[in-house]
Amino acid sequence: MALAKPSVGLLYNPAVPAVLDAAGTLVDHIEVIPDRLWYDFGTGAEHRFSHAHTAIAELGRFAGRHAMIGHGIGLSLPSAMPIDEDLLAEVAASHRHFGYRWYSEHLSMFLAPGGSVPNAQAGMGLPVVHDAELLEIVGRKVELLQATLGVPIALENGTIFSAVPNPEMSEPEFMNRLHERTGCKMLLDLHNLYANMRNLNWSPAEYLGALDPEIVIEVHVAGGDPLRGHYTDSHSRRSPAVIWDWLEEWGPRFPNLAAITFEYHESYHKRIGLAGVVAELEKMHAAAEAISGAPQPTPAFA
Amino acid sequence: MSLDQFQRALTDLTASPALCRAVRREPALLSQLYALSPLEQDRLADIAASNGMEANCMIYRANRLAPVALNCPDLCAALGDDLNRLISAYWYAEPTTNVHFLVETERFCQFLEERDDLSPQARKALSREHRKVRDRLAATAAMADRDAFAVARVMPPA
Repeated sequence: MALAKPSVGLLYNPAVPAVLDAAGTLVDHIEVIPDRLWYDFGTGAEHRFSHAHTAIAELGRFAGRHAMIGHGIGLSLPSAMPIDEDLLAEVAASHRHFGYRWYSEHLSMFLAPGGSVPNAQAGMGLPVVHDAELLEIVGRKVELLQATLGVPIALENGTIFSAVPNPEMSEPEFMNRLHERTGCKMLLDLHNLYANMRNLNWSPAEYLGALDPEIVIEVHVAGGDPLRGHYTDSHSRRSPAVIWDWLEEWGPRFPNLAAITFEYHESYHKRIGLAGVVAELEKMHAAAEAISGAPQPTPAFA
Repeated sequence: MSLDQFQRALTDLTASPALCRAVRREPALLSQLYALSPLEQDRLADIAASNGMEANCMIYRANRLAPVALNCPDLCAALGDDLNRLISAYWYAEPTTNVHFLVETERFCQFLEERDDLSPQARKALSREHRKVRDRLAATAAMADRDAFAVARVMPPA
């Protein structure tokens, strides 16, 4: 039996409507960052979340024609602090409004304990300690998200500039154990893996080979920039060639891979260009076709 | 549990190149500032000493600068070389960033309004762009009670 064709889509940003109007037939799904649909005035405000009505209406214009996936940045599941329940309720309302097929967050720390929600921002996604304590913290929050949203939950691997030394387990092992415990899926960001290869000499083959292939539900592709000897996940360019090689090689091994998404930031729309975004979509479709033609992999991971 | 202390310390290091330099010189400083296990202290000392910490600090600063650069481009241009000094002083005074871009920008503008070391060009750009930010913030706040998800909120769970 052959694999199903993964859907192809874009992470939504204010430049994406122009792409959808020009080349909407190439876009199966739209990935929405719900945190960008409102202004958060903080827990002390009478109305904490002020909705971005124009953005929500614009997105609604496409919701009937394209599948929707939720991709949050604000819940910071690995932070050693209680989940922001008001924010979770708002994410749930956005899910009921748009109907996400699944919802993902990041395996990175965006909120720092000791700060006051929602302004305890770490300022970027920081690395986490892959150990049993964190597995317990993230596992409980994943279960809460599953119960609240009623759709599959996935976590994305992040870009890391300074890995936490001497972890109890590797990142793939952490993801596998989280899946065993909660059923949590993985959003495999191949560009983040590429960045970690460049910055930390990670072995992509070792990383991908250590993952339970069953857990990967979605793949992200993107491009970035060098920064004073480092490499960033700036979402500023088309994807590096090697990422397509990895997708071609590893995509058919992930039996539950259901979506491939290109991420770019609206401030780089001019640099990438409409033709560049369309070219990425066409490459994703070619990769998805190749995956759909591949035979179902034999379960071999134990 | 000291994981919260570990995460707090990592965040503080990322926000402060000066703290990174201090920890590189004297790793024991970590145990004076935070309640850490020996393993956590070793991990943080290694992270602070790593090449990647430079990238963490740069990206933190770029992300914190983004709201101001986006909403006050003329002010940033008029400040020129003074921008680094002034925004660093602002971050020292307001160590916690605000997730709301307009609120964060308004706070920086207000910080500058109270200073007397701005050039006339910078003062002029500040006056113009601060007013725009305040107007947009007021417009956003005025819409705060309109719930775009009102219908969805009363629907049964999926």
